[in-house]
Amino acid sequence: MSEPILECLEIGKRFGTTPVLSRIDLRLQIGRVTALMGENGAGKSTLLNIIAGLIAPTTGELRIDGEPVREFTPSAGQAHGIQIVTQELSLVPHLTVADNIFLGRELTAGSKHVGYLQSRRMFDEAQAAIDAFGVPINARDRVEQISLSYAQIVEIIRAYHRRPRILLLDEPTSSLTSNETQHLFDIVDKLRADGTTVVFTTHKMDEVERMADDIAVLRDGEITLKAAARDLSSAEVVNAMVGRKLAEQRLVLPEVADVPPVLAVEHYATRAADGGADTAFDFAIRPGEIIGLAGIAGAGRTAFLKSVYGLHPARQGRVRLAGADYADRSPSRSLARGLIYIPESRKEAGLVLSQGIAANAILANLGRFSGIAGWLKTSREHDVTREALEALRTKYESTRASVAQLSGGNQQKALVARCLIADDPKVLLLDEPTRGIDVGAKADIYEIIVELARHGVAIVVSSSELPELMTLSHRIAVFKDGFIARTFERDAFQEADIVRTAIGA
Amino acid sequence: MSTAPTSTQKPSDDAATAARRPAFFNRQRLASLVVWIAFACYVIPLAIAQPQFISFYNIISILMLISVYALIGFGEGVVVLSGGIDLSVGSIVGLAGVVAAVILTGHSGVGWCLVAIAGGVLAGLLIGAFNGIAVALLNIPSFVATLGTLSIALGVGYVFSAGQQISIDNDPFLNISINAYFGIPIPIYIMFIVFLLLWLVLSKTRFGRYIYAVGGNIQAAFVAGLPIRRVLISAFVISGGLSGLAGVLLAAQITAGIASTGSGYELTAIAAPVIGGISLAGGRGSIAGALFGVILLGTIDNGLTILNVSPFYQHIIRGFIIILAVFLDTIASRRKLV
Repeated sequence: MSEPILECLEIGKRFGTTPVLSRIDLRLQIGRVTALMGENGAGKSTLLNIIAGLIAPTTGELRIDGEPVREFTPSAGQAHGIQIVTQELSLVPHLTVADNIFLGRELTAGSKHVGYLQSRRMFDEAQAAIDAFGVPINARDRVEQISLSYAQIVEIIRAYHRRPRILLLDEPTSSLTSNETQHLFDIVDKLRADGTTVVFTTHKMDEVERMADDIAVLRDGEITLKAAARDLSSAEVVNAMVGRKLAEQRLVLPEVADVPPVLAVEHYATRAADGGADTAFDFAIRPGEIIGLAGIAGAGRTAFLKSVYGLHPARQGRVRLAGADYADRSPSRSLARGLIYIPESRKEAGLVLSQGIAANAILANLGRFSGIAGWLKTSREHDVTREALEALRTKYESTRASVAQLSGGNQQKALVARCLIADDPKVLLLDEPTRGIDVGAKADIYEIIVELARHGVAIVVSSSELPELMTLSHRIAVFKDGFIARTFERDAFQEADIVRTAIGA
Repeated sequence: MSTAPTSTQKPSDDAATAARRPAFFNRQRLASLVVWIAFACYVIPLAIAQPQFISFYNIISILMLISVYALIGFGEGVVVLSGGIDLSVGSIVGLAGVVAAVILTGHSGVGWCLVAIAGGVLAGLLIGAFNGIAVALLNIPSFVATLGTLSIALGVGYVFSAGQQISIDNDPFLNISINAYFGIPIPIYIMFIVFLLLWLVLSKTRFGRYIYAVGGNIQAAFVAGLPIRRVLISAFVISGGLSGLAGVLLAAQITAGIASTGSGYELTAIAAPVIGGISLAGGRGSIAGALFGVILLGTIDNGLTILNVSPFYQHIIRGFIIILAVFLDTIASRRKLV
């Protein structure tokens, strides 16, 4: 093997007291493509961010060309010839594709203090760079005019146009259609031919088979498998990914009575099927049942929950709630019928951060706390909130304090408290109820979920953490490409099987 | 946990320090105190140097001066809390005055006085409803929608008055600004009654909660099943109605209906809540802040007049004070551009 261009030696990283990476040893060879695999939270993005210089490691050493790296800043990383394309888009929407490709390195005429832009040259050069990848994007279009997936490709082209020696792609295909993914494959082939070193993260097995020379698998912040791609089978990869230690033992779930389902979804679809196949699906949940929704990011779990709740329309299919057809779905009607949705992004769609804890906890049930002329029964509001927060073991100073001051876990509890305060909850749709919160807070939320199920509430939990779903659910429905690909019963939960269904291995 | 750890780390650090500090001295409270302290630094020396400044007569004249501004400032405060902005308030003031004056032309008596008041307020309510519908149902940004009605209401006022100043000689109507109880003219009572009502509505009722929730995070409000469109329309209707009431009171003070009389008032109406700590981003602040804002602006204007500063300079000074007040708030709350 040739000299490595980049080496990670015993790299470790902790955020606060939480270890995210430990003892990472990894070598990248010139012109080879490495796939970094692992479940959500395994530490993939953190590792890429360290290599790119966006964050510094807590322990260990990073060497580029055999020289240890001392400065971890984005500009230092770029000076070493490292470019990263993160999951979030970082393009300026109102500028053209060409402007974005040249952002910060504009071609100018005359004195550099005048900075007269050579727009024509930039457009031509940008268009040439795009054409070289064979994608139908016009360099003069503004980024907001092109599709999200083309924007993702523009980001990759922009990174490539800076002639990186190492290119890091964090889930480059998560917003691409299968057609565009083909383009990405071609781009990566070209990069490899040019001698660029590429590292990408993905959840999809077929992409690894198509693109990767080497595979590294992360599990709980440690590398569990490192080998050349052609020497590995997909079973070996899956086995290296799973087997994460369960944080808790399996909870004792209440028995589900054999009664008709409280929520039934028939012949349902939230998106157009790829290639015209009929991928409509059915879904039903009985009172007291907990069903987990598994699947990789973008598999359609959130779209399913949102459309059932009435935040946006479904493409087809019907919903029956408590035996009656429920066609004209909207958030307020759903709440009136006891169908509650807790969104995944608590800061964007869940909480009003400028408001107090109680105001947030009762936001969806204000009608119950107001009398004549909408006069609020404030003391009851705070009593009920306090009761709900205590049931969730929330740490807070006062129900009047701003919800923004709470830690992430306690914010989530203030949001979940809505389910406890609701009038007569029948069905709860919980989207990533434990994302980014600590183990203790998770356990508290699990306990409440099980308790609600015991009282006959049907609960749908969507989560990207499989161990959590296996702990918590009677059944797990696995989403893939917008529909339920397979459903597992609790006594047949096998992490490897479920992962295989989700990633299509 | 896997992405952008540096940016998620920061708020929790801030939250942690905020939690450790005793509740009374938290940053938000400090921020609102700073403006009060600055206000005191202005009033106290002035009162010592010019004792007439704090005479009963002068205080009443300050309150009289600000009563019109206060009403439109309150309405603006409600709209800003709901996450919008209302630029049409000044034009509504003029239009309402014209409507009242037109109704009163050739009519005397208490009955017509009441009709004129109702007519002026109704004109404001209608413009407000138009604003609300444009914003909430037609999805036009409030800045643009109300910029449009700023011009529309002004034009309608000109049409109704044929571009003329319409004098008012209905005695009961003119008495609104002359009659006083316990030495306090009626507009000042109206100002405080409206303030009290709005304060109760915003802090004690469900509708008030809706306003704060929609202004603070409209997405979350929608997910929680709130009637967000109705809330937005109501906010603009309140603002329009209060501007109409302000226009009626102003017409009584100047004994005429003039379409252009409120032009430029929107600046004061927006400045007052902002000085008083209502966030232009919506969802944060109290209507008491709007009252404080107009009192501050009115007191400064009055003090500068007592000090014989030319009205031309008063404009300049007022502009700097608006910027200074928000700057102090920015420092105290550690807000940054990025």
